[in-house]
Amino acid sequence: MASEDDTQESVVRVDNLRVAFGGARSAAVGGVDVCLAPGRALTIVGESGAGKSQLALAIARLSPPEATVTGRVWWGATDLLALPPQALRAWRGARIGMVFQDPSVALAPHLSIGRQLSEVLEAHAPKMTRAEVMEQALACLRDVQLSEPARRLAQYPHELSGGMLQRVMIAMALIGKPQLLILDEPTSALDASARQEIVSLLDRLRARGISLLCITHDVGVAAHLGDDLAVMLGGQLVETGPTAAILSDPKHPYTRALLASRITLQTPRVGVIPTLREAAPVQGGGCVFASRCDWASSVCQTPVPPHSLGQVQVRCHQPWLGKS
Amino acid sequence: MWLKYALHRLFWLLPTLVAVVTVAFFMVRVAPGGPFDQERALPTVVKANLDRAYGLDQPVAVQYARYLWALAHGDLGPSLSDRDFTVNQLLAIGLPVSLALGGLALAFTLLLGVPVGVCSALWPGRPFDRVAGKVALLAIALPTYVVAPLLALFFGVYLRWLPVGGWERGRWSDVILPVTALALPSIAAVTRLVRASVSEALRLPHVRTAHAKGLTPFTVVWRHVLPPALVPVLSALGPTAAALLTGSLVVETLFGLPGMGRFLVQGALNRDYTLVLGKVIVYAALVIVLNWLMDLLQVALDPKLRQALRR
Amino acid sequence: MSALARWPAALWILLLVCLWALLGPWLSHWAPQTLDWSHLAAPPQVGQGHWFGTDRLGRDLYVRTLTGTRVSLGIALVAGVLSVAFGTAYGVLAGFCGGRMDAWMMRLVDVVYALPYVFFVILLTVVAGRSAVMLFIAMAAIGWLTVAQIVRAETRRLCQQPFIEAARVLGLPAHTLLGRHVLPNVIAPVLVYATLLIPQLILLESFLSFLGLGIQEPAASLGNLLSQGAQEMEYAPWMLLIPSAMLVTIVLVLTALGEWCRTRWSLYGE
Repeated sequence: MASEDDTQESVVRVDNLRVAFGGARSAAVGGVDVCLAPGRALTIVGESGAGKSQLALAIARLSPPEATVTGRVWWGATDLLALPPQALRAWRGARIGMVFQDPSVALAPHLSIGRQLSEVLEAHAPKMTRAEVMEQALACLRDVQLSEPARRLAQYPHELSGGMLQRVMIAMALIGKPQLLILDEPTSALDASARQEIVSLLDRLRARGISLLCITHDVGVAAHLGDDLAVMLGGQLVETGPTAAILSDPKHPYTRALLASRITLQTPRVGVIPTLREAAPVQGGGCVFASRCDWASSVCQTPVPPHSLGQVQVRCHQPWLGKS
Repeated sequence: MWLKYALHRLFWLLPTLVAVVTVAFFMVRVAPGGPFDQERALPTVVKANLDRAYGLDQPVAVQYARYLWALAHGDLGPSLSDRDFTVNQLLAIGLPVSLALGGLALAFTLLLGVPVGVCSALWPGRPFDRVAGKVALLAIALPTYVVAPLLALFFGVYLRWLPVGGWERGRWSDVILPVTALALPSIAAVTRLVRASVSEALRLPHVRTAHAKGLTPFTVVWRHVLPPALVPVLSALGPTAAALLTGSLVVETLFGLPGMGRFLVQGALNRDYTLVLGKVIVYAALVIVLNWLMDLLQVALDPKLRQALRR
Repeated sequence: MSALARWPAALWILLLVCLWALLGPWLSHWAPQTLDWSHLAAPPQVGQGHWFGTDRLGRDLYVRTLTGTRVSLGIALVAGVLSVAFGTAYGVLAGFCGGRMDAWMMRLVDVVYALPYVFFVILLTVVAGRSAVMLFIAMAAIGWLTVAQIVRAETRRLCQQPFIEAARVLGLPAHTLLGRHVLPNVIAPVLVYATLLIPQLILLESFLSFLGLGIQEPAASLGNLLSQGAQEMEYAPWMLLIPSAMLVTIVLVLTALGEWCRTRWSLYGE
């Protein structure tokens, strides 16, 4: 999470973002503030249903039509959520690149890779000639280190493996030269070796000055990407701060449980988080983890403002409890 | 390669056609009564001569073999009731009319059904969608033989805008009512199918990707939504065409158009074996060829199938 | 009572129409085939009791429309039952046997589907003469196809379920397996499809009668009433309009009911 002094030069600043679905009693995303500095990576981890993906989609205004989105997404002095749809297209694909999970369905099956890459440029730089567009597409595929890039242009998604498709997906997000890359579970559909390659590719992109917002349920990816980490639960960010600080000294009971549930060779016994997704009550304003927390008491039913503990911000009334 | 595949598919459709011919041939022959049984019985000698002249005195198996042999040469034999004509001549008169009618109705169906279905899917729940949905439900419940007379009654008899029947070359006004009556249920069916298919395609993950790339809404729909959405519509076109042919039977009778369907029922009742067989075979061949074309189109649209073909 | 209130209006309209068709003819003092020579092709009027007018032979259209509705509904119902019975048996057999047997049986269904079936119905009615029994068979010959496809798909799905597997492992004989485990699970989607099939069969019956291949004069069905109405429409439009309205109402109501059932039990998607 960005600290006070660099909010000035943030790429994107999310202000009290809420995503609610009609019938649901609680919001999928309940008032989230996020700030992302240029050239930094922010990883958001959390379990399924925590609202991570809805948060990512809402930033690029890609929420499903039945969702109600409120709050502000500041890009400089522009509120993306208030833009008319036509104006929004100058951001999508050009300033914000999106990478979705499971590239085998996120890419159009009936269009060639070359066609899917070139149409981004056609939309954003209509003056480019056909040759220039193809040149650029090829350069992008080389950039993401896809093997035999020239041949891939004429191929269709079903001919490529999952790892290769994810590279294509990233190339497609990069071709418009965006400042911000939003990745929604970029590695969850991939096997272990492909995952490793994609993560190091992301590392290189960040070194080039592209900001990354990476949604994942894989704490390993977060640890590798470094910079900032946000732990999301029940539509709220329960702990945010520098990745290293959170991983070495998790404050929120949920973060501790999440980290303990990782299976490593060192872990003697795998910790289990009680999974009661529907029991996350946001409407009362109490802690979203209260019903599942071993140390919960009556104070946990009252609203939890974020407490600053060193560089880390935690939404917990008693973060000192239960620490080993 | 393309041509080879097309021919290969066509080759596999041939047995279906032969099966149709065989079933139809024997069904007609099993039926009691013959073409020359009239109210007043013909003298035995005359009937025997007639039977011999048309080869009806032979065993059925021989007749079948002869028929197939002639059919392979494109000859459908003489008409048994309209004795001055061969079936080929009668079909040459009727087929263009029926094809024009069916073709116009099919074009009408696609030109109206597809856009209306797409618009309904793009604006679900809006007034346009709701009105279109109600009209489509009504049109499906209204069979051709109800719509056709009602249209004729209203536009032909009361308003006197359009002729109630008849067919003169090059007169567009003759075609409007029959084609409308014929196409209406198909338009409704296609509209509903396209709407369902497009609203499903709108939820595909790659459509969200397309939006995320900053494409215009038109490009997203045209390039990313419609191609996958229209594939099921293509495979439904075969049955749609069959329904149009069925409907043309009614429309031709009601509006007195000289198409193929007009005297089909009469011919069947008169035991005009060759005429009925000829018409049924042509209808079946039309449907089969259409299914074949749709099959080829589907392959052309799907890169996976296309590649399997290239290998 | 609250459960009844949740039933759609379509069902009530359907029940009303059925009741009317069953009891309505008794309200008139005309019989369906009585010729009233003093009122030939008379328009609808109250005085003489020809509430829907008469046809060219002076037969009362009110009574004829209602008896025709009765006939049309009855035929569709019988043909529907035949279709469902045969289609279910065929589909269960194909799905249960699987393998090559299944492939050939379903191939046959596909081939019959691809044909312009109405011409075969025409041939069929020509072969066996125009009788009510032939009409049932001809209509069921079309109706069973989709039933067979649905049942077959459902059976295949069921046969891969663990509980069927378990029953097989237990060594239950095939007929017990079918009767106790497969059929009861297949029945629900079939019944829902049947509600969509009946309006199609009503349309088919009236289509065949319209062509003169179905119910024969002097008996009435919606199809042959329409056929006569279409011939006389310039002079006696009520002969066309009244049976049309009846047919459209019934088909619309049944279609709406079928769609309601389908979404209610959310079976086979769109």
